[in-house]
Amino acid sequence: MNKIFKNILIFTTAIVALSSCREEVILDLNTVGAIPVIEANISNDSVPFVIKITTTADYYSLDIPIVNDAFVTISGSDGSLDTLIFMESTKCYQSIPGSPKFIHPCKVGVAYTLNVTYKGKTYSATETCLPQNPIDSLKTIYLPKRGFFPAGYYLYEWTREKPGKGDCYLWNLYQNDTMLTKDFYYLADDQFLEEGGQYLSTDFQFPFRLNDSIKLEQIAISRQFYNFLTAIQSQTGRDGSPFSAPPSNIAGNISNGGLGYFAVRNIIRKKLVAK
Amino acid sequence: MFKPILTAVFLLFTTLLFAQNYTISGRITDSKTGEDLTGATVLIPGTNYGVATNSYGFYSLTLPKGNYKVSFRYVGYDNIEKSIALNKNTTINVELSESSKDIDEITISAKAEESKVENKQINVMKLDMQTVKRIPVVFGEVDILKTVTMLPGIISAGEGNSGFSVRGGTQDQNLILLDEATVYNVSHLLGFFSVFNGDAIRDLDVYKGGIPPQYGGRLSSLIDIRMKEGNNKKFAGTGGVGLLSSRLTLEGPIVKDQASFIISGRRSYADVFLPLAPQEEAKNSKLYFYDFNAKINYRLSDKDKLFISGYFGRDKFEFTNLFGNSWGNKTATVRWNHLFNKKLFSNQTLIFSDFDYYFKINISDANSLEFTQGITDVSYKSDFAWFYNPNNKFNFGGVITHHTFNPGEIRPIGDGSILTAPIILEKRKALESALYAEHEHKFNARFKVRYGVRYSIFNNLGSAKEYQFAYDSAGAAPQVVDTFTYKKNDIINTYGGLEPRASASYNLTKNDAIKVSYNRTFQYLQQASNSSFALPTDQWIPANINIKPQISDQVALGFFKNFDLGLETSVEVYYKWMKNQIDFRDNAVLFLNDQVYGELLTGKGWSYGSEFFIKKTKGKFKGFISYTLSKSMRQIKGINNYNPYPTNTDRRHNLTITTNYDISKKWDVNLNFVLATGNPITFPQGRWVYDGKLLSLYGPRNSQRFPAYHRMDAGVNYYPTMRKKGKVESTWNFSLYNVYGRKNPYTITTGTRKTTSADGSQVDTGIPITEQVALFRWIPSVTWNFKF
Repeated sequence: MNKIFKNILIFTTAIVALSSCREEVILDLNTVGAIPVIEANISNDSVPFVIKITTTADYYSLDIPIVNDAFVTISGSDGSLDTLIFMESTKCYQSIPGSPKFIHPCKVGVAYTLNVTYKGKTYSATETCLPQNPIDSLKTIYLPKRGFFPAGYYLYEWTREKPGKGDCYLWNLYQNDTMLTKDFYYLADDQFLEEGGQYLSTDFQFPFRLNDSIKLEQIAISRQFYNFLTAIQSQTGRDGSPFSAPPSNIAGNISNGGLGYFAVRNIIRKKLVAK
Repeated sequence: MFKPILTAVFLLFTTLLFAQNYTISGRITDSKTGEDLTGATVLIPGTNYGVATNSYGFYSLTLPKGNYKVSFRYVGYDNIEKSIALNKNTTINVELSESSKDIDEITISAKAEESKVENKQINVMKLDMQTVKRIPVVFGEVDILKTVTMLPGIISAGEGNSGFSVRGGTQDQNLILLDEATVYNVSHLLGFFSVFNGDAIRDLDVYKGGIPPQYGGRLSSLIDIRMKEGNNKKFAGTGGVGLLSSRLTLEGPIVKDQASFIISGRRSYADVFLPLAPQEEAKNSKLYFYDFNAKINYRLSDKDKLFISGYFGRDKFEFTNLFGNSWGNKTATVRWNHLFNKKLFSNQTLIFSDFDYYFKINISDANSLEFTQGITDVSYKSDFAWFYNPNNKFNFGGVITHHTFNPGEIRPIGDGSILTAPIILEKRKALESALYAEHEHKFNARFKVRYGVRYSIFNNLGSAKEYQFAYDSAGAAPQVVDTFTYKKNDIINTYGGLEPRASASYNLTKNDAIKVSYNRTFQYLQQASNSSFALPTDQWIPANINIKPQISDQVALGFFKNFDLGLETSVEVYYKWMKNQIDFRDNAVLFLNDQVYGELLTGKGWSYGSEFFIKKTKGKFKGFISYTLSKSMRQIKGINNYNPYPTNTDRRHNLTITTNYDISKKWDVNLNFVLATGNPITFPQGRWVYDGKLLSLYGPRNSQRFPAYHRMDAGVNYYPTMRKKGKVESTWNFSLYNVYGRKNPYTITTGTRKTTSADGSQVDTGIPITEQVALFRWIPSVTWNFKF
């Protein structure tokens, strides 16, 4: 609703301010030194852990510097420990399969800690692998053209919500193995559901074609990660007009002033064919 | 706290001891229109005895028995002098006539009274419509609120916005009254114009502090706007045709010399041109505003006068038939003036005020719904003024207001909507009441004091559901830990407090005066707005169990000096402490949220500054210069790491110059200049990437600035048939806004550069840029005004 209102504002401004002019300006912005940015997602999938470390850059600069000389470990509360090595090919840190205390895939209930030592400072974060409920049912329904939404097969999902409050979910959706949810996070929490065991129903506003193969990933995430992704969503959607809220930084879970997030994801998948 | 009241009582008894006094009282009206004259003076030349009429033209002057020559005076009017032998209470109603002398002579003689330093009040600025109408404005739309921002201590929220900040306060801390009714949203077209039609307004007072105890409920200021009353002698009309809107005002007697009416309407017609637009969407859109003022006044007897006034205004904006938006205010005031005796004047007022916002979406049968939100007030006010003697006046009374807040309702349109049942957030109700008393005491010709107290109480009423919140840390998302349910008319919660107000004035010489003031104000309602500009979608929310009332303490000191050349100068300094100031946590959800209180954070604010004002009132060349040096800060847990930050309306320097030159009786020219420090803004200090998304790293809140704002406007007024009896008077106004085309930033946005590829589609290059939008450059306008 607010988004619509904003569009209306832009339209009004355009009509009222016939003489308005829009142009690029270069501002004399304050700067800060490079701060490490950690993008770390580990999961219950049987694949090596991959972690990306970059740093912040000046606002107008075009390059995002990659950090290749950090010391990276992940340890579990079950005693597991893994050291990740920088790979020139992917520009990422990766766990080496076959290392002695190989800990993936993540196990439910285990708390994992990431430690990154870079330029004499240690940045760390801890998350626990959360339980998941299975996807109860998945189906597609054909809908005719509705306003902005074209005609097509739309996906509906039902799942039984976990008991207790504070559960958060993220969904990834694929059409013939192409990820559709790249620019937008499908997120939900259970704040408005009655406590315990309710059905959570979700509909996805992507029109599928007949016989498309659809894959849905349902990911149990922490409340903190949910807030982090929501903040990203709100910052990327911000237009900076005087009608928008003051901007805010995106708080992750990395200690010692680091940016980014170390997330432990519990992923389940279900596939179907649009019909 | 009760000391002032005790002093008042003591003074009362001491003055009662004097004997054998009689009272002269009455009303002073305009001989041509029959309208009451506010601020006309009644004096006994050669003595210190003198009073001014109140806003109903009423005066009361109590003097010892004797023979007097009484002089009745008003700016721009011929004086009347009467000799009386005062040996009983006497009523003298006087009609003053507009002076037929040359305009310059009027200014010199009549302004002299008003200009006296002793008659100036600290913290208070008065504006007459004559001044307002001469100032060149964008699109030629006369706008009282835009003129208010030219005054010292008052800062415009930005170009294309009617919002303003008074001495570092927020926009919702301004109490804007139209004939005593609160106007909740003062903007037309999202702020480009204010809702007040210049033709229907008589005058206004701006209080930047030292707000009389009679008024309350807002922290920072009182803008007291009074509508015209209507001519009770003959039928008359005024109007105008401008580029953006047209106006027509009609007034006349209902019963000659007894009852009169005025109606005034205005409508914009930008939408008339929409069908000419090349875009199909624009052709089918609607975009307009209109407003309507009406007032009736009836003199029932010498002792009773009845006023009924109303305002109705609306903005409508429809984008094809997909979306519809409309919003507006409605106010109504019924007032009864009654004289109990020669000394006791009373005013009973019933007030209604309503603001609502409506939104409709109709993109398909399934996606069609409508949304409303708003606020409705009903008030009863009882005011008394007791003119005990020329040196002692008492004001006392009370007010009670019932507020209804509608936080939002969504209803489906038609049967096909995906919304099967309406979503209705429960309306919040509250009662706001106050009692006040004030004593104005003139010790001698040099020393005057005015002090009083207001006691206000605020009750939240059921039925309601209230929540208790917990947070992981300050500024984190709220979690509901407990819910309380209240039945209808339960008193959920009570706040209240004493608001002392006092000021003193001392004349050092005839032309120099020093004045001080202190005041405390409470505010129980606020607008949930977390952007620089207030929107009609920003709802008003009351204090409740989660949010305490805002409290402000302000001290001010002023020095006033007049020079012989017709120069009036003043310097005022102030310091303000504000408690329970509200801001919103990062990523707050304010729209259609019944737990909106969880998103609020409170802390303290403070502001201070100096205001310099020079006004030239004599001669062909007139005008004023106002300069403000100020600072306005906030400190709130959960925002900016609890470090103090400048408020959105913090401006270090603000300079305005308004000049007017009379070339001849037919022509005058006007020039305006504004220079202000740029708006504070939070710009990124760096960028980072997560999941392929380009993100900004922001510095401290409001730590950087827009480039400085400056602008010059010019206007010419032409009076071809000025001052010819029995003819239609007409005036032409030509103006040019932003003469040298300064690109003042309206917004500066961050984003990435987009280019258009060969096939016409938009391609995002990923190169970070900052873009500025400048709104108004070289806006010419022509307005034709007429009067018959």
